[in-house]
Amino acid sequence: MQSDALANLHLGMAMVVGLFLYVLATPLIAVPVGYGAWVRVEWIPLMLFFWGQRCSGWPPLWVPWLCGLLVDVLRADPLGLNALCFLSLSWLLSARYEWFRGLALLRQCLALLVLLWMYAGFSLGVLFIFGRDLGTWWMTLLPPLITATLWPISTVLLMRIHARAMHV
Amino acid sequence: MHGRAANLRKARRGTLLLFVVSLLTIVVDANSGLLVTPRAVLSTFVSPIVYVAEAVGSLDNLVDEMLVAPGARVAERRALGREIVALRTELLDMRILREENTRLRKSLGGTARVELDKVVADVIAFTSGPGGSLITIDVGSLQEIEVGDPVVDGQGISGQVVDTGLSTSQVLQVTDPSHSLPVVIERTGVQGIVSGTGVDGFVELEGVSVSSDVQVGDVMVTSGLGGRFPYGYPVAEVVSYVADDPFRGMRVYAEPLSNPAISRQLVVLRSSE
Repeated sequence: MQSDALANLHLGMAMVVGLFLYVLATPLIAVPVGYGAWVRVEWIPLMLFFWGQRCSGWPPLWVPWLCGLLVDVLRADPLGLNALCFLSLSWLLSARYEWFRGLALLRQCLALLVLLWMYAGFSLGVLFIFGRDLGTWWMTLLPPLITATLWPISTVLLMRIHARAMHV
Repeated sequence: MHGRAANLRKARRGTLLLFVVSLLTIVVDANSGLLVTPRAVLSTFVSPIVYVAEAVGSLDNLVDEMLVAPGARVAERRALGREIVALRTELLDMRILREENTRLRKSLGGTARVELDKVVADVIAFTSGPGGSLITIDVGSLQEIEVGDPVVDGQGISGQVVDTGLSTSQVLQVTDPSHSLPVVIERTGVQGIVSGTGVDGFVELEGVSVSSDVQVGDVMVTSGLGGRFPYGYPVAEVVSYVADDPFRGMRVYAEPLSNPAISRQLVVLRSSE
């Protein structure tokens, strides 16, 4: 019971840190704001990928959904867009976690890249349907590439930070 | 075993419900303003994170402040004092001009210019996503900020509010491809629509005929058409043009005068009516 509480505490803190890093990344590197704003890591999907393939069925799917809603507010996207993407990502990972876990590190990077590009593609598609002009749409390919490249380092770091939580 | 299967079924039903709710909210939010209140509630949860991130992000400014020598600070304060006096004098002239302008408008049978409330806001964050280039500012529906309110800095139009929370708002920048506003070239009166190009520091003037008189250095100001942006606010300065594009007429490229990344403070214009 105590370890459950500890795991949930880790989870909550990690999600807050994920949102925090998302907001922090842009003002630090994006002055002047321009293409620099795209040089960033997709922290929350990265954490979801880590948990999804490490701990089957945890975190509960409403957590990434709620986190997605908060990202929708931050990005001024239609409410539910990122929530749906994060929910789909977590659901896919929880359904196929053994397959993802069994992949070699390089293949995990590629799998993460494909998932994140699907996420970016779906978001762009929905925004396009609802009439948003997607002038520099190709720049959305950059954050997934950076995130996937950083996966080997981040997985080691996350394993160390969340070692206790993973023993639940 | 039986209990586990029941739990799985329950989890599947929950997931399906969340899928359906997400799809519904996307459609409803993109097509109506019905979800303004849930958005405002969610933004209150996000605001503390945004504020902390902004505080951490501006630590370098704090260090710069601390490293400034006391003598330099005194000199800076004197310079600012002089600037305030000069600006106050200019303000007096502006008041006289405004009154004259109102009288002239009335004598010509026109309506008086709409007075606007100005709400000063600090820039909290810059975000770029598939949805656009956005600036988060620290005023929201508590300060009666509404979607569509124009936003300016000391130099010109920065963008318009596209989303409001209780104490934060999102501003779509003029450089974003989905942003357009009607303008007029100050020198010649040529009208057009300024649209973002998605490239930082550039906008494009559309709807200008090939024979129009446009020169590098011309300043575009808001034309007031459509009623969203008030007349006369500077928007951008022409930096180049292609006069003989056979398909699109004259193509005019301009540099926005506003630079929120430097000013870090913006003013939201609200109609006082």
